[in-house]
Amino acid sequence: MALLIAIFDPQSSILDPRLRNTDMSDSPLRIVPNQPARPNQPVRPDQPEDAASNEAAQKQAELAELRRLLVEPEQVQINNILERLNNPRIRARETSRTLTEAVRLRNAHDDSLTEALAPTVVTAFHSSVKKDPRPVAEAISPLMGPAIRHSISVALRSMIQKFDQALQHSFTWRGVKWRFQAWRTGRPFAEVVLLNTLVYRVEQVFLIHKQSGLRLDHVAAASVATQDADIVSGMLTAIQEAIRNFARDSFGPAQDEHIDTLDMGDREVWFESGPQAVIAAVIRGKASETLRSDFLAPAIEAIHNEQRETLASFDGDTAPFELSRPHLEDCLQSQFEGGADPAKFKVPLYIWLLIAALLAAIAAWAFFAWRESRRWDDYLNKLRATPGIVITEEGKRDGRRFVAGLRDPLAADPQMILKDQTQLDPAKVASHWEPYQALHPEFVEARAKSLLEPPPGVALKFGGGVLSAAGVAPHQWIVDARKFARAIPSVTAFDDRDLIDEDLKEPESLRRQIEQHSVRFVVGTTQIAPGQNEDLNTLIAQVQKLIALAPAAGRVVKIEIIGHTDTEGDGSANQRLSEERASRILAMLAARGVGKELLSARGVASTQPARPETSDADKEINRRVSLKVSLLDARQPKESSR
Amino acid sequence: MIQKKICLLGAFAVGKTSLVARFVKSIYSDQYITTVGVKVDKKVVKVDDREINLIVWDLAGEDEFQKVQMSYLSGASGYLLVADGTRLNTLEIARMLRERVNENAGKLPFILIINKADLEPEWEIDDQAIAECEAQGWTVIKASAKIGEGVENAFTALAKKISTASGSERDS
Repeated sequence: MALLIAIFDPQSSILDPRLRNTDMSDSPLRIVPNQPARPNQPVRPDQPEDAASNEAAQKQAELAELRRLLVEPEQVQINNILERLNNPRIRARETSRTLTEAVRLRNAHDDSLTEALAPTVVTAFHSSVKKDPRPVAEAISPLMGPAIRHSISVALRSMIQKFDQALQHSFTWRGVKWRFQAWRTGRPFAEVVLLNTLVYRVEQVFLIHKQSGLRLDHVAAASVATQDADIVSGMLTAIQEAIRNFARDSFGPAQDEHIDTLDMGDREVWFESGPQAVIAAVIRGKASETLRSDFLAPAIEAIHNEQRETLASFDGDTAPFELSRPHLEDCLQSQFEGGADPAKFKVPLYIWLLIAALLAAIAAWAFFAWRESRRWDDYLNKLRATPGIVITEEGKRDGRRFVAGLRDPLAADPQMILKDQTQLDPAKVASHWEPYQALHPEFVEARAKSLLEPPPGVALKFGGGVLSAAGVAPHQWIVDARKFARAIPSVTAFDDRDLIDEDLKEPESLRRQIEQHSVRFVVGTTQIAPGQNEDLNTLIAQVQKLIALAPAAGRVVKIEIIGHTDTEGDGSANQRLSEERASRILAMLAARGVGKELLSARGVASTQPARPETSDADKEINRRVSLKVSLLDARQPKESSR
Repeated sequence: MIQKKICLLGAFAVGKTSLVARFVKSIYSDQYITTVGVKVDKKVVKVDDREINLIVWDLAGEDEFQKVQMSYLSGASGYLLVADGTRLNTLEIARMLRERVNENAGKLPFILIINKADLEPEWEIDDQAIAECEAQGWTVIKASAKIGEGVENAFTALAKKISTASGSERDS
């Protein structure tokens, strides 16, 4: 190579004419033809300059020609190589041709390429998702959907299955037995049921390297307790080997030394052998041969197809076999009594009926609860609308409804409202009422009625603080009512203007009768005109009766006897005459037993005629004595209003 | 994780099983060795920061009535030969076993463990015998089941030999 570069390079010292005297006996240049003629010619310093330069130029040309003849094909090749080395586009094209093969070779050798690329791939993935997550989402969505659906359906199925089986077996003799078994062994009931209804179940599947007995992979069904699969795989292989040795020693060599099945009561181990690996399936119960033909054999075949090279060059690295795990998982088959294969499990009709019944019960309960609550609200509203009842607390306690508050003893009975006006069960309602006095007018009125006990014919009314009574009542009641009305709360006044004293009725009537009497007199005298005896007797009887009745009505009788004259005659004489006439009647009454202290007499002459005097008859009427009766309150000397 | 099968070989009663008992993960009882002729255990060792899962086949000891079944060595990557320092003939048996392994399973990496190091003053296997073995290129490790000495070393040394052997296979 050094030689080639030297020949190519015009500046190379090897071909420099000035160095031609150098001893080149060992130089590769010795192979160059024409060259040996020149090497020993010395340079003559005394030669003219132009001649020397001409000679040099000629030599240069010759040399160039020599070079061309000698190395042109190589030069072209070298130029090509340099071009390939320096041009990145060509390099890239060439790398692309060998890249796939290089990657394959590298991967076969070790994992370093994968390890080296991993961070780049992760970063690229991150940045791709960051930039636009859609392509990645679109790429994995076909995987995600089924995967999620599958895992949800598996979880749901196993849950319903357990529930159903537990339900199915809870109330039977068998169920009781199993429950006892579960309690004794400390296992969940569902698991005991599962084991008892199991026809068979593949609990574990080992993929074992045939020659070494090393575990290539292992899967187990859910909730199966497993031992260290590495050790178990080895032992399974060792035991097969032991059996083979035993068979060989006992019965002589056989053509086919495969062991298909190890049978141990309720468990079996089935082996399905391929050229390099064997599947060992641990089965509880009795599986049908179809398990082998439909699952185990296809699985070992598929694994050999997929892992042909990995198996051939297996040197202890089991990681690649994880890719074939789905084949092992396919072998985790099971079958239950009555065909209740969990994989094909359907929710039975009675579960749906049960759920429907449950929903109906919930709906009914909700309806009744709602209705009862409506009735309760209704009852409370009725209580609130009832005067004299104030609700302070209501609610539910210990499953019973309760209501508490204040109640005027005169108010309607809440218990009666509950019984008569609602559909609630009184036994389910607790009540507690504190007594109080309501100040509603109707309550004041009612309280007045109950307190004063008015006799029939007397109406009590309350409004604006005033209690009014109207009608006829015994005198004593009226006296008491006046006294007690003020004591009733919120009553500020007692109005008895429309109240008639029953005991005053007869005295009043007598009074009016007495005042209608008129005792006529003979002209100019104090002599009582004749023909009046009967009338006078009546008058005296009336006066005596009035005096007798008055005390019962709490009255004292005062009778004013008024004397009158006609207009004839002298005024002062008439005055005297009228006084005398009054005194005459006073004396007469006194003579008939009427107390003088009740009587008084005065004369008013002709100032108060009974009628205008236009005739003698009028005069005759005006010559008279009239009586004015007062019924005074016995305790007050003041005259009563009547 | 890389898995390797190794075997534990030796004369009868050299204490193979008790030698490794404290160092391996075991799920089967020692009865397996007498009934089946083998018991499988597991031992994880670290070689150059890489964990290797050694699946240890503990084979029944060799004596005049019972020969070690060489078929158990199928697929093994290496083996531990165990001799009893207090019995010279156990070293002979170890040599013979090695021969048989070479015939049946080919040349495999192995380590010779001489057990009962706690009783070294009473040993029949002297330093010269050990030197002879080492001269043949054997790795000899003195160990004691009683005090647990040397065992971990033996496993690691074997694992190293195995990975070097398989590594050189790869590079070739």
